Amino acid sequence: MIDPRPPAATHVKRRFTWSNIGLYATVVVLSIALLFPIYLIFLIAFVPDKYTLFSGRPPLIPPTLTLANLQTGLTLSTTPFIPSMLLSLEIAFMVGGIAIGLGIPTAYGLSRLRPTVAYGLTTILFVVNMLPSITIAIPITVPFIKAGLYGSPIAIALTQELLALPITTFLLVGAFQALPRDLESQARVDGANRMRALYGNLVPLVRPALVAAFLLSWMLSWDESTFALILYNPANPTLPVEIFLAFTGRGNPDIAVAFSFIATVPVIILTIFLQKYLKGEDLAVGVRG
Amino acid sequence: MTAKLEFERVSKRFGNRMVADDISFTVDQGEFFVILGPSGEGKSTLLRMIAGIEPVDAGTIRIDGRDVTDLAPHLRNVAMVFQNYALYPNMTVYQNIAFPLKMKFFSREEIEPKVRDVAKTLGITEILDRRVHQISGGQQQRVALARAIVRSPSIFLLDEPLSNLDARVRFGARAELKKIQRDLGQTFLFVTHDQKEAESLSDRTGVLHLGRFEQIGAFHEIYERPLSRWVGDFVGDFPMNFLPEASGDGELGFRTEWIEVGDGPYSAVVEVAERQGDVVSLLCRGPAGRRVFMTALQRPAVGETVHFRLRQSLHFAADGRLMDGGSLPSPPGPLSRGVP
Repeated sequence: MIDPRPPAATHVKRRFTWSNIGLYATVVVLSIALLFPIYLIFLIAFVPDKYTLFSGRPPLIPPTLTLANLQTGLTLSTTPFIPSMLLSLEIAFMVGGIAIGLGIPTAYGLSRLRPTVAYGLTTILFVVNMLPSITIAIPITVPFIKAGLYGSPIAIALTQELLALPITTFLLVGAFQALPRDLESQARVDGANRMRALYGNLVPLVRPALVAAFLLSWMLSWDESTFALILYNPANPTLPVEIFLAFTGRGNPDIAVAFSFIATVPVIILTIFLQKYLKGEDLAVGVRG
Repeated sequence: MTAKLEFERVSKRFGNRMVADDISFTVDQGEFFVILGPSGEGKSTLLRMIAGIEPVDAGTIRIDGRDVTDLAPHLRNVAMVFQNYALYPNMTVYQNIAFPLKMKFFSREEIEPKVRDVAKTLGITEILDRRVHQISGGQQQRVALARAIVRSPSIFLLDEPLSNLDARVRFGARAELKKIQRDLGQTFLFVTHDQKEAESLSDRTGVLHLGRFEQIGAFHEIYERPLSRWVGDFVGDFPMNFLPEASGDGELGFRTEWIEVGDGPYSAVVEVAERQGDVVSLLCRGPAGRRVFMTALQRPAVGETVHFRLRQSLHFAADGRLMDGGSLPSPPGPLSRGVP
């Protein structure tokens, strides 16, 4: 009898051998290369600026650590980082939510077309992503002003959706296509209408893809600065815009860097929190043949 | 009495292939009807059209006298067991069986005894709390069946439900299925390419070929009196043997069991001999170079010539249709002397 379960992950203890040394060396070099910029940001954020930004030769080992940069940023009225962060969080969750909400029906519909047609249509969705954001942002601003949405969080969320939705849809189309068609048919024969079959039977099975799609669109929004810069409310910009302004206009580069370091924290928390849903063990079972 | 299921001139086309070509037939209440045909003949499509998953191009389908042709699947009250069982992987066995009842808005208290009852009938009580990937193929088949039975549908549609089972458990599952159908007294529509299943399960069998039923009737009738050459060739452990008619018009068809080996007007040369249990199956090259399947008790040498006579045979016209009701010892034709 064929075991329908995916093979369990086996943890093989690898013994150290000299032939593996190249492999380990590569991993170490790559890790350093990728983590070094983050380390630099950490240095600028938590070391007094006389050692870093205003020193000709910044040290690699921090001579002393300080929270002064952060404190200044939080107390200074010209750098409203906390409201910006809250706004960014609000918008990011909006973008993630809308991307999932619209992505599910869109992807389901596409997955029910012939694969060649579905791929064609999904590619068309990506056309917006191929253009520089700025070329879309400007024409889109006018109807937003007319609709009275200018400067509101939902306006920024909706424009960022232009970038997020194609990716979410693409991910979810693949997930829906991978589901056996018979599962939906079975649900419908068993008494579920199309909506119930989609949301009750199929959506729970693409949960890993949903989580991935949500995370991607959330992070896309968290980082996004073009739309956020053009449509922002000067009294309360999003975090990337605030960091940008602090860096360029207001002359608080060390504070800006401190907050870009802080900006990674929600991403890490969210990723850790949602990671357990990314496992796909439920996906491939229950259907034989 | 109105028929349980009625097809009236139903047609369905996939591209330029007709999977249902103007099909009309009826199935009676309580009948076990088997749709038999080679793979890829559109047997499953027929079931899917009844279930409402596949739209019909033309014609009318009625269940209990009600026109369901354009009705959504969830409003038809039919149960279907798919070939791959299509168990909901995110649910437990219990939840799977309870699902159709939940969709009918039964309360939790009403569902529980029904599910336990069906589980008991099918002997799957111990696995109710398991996930579907934790149970064996045979158990999955039972769960799929339980999910169909639990809701008392007006008709059961089964799409090769036994084909994914090991040969060892298949026989038991077949017998059990027949018993369940008898006990329920319900109408079963069963699709298979396995004639053994048609033989042992069906009250009537319909042989599907090129979008049409070539023949509908009791299985033994189809076996003994195939209405066309194609049916004779398709049905049977051995395909029916055909020799050109003496008159040169049409063909003589005969089953392997209708051959008496030893003496007679026909002769053939043994090409392959294979022992299967008590008997030896022979593939021979007969008159006019036609293949003839025979069985013998002794294993003849390959290349040996065997002589045989026919206890009965059927006549098929040149277009493949059965011409008469068969005949007892058919007259030896001149061809029989032309041993290759």
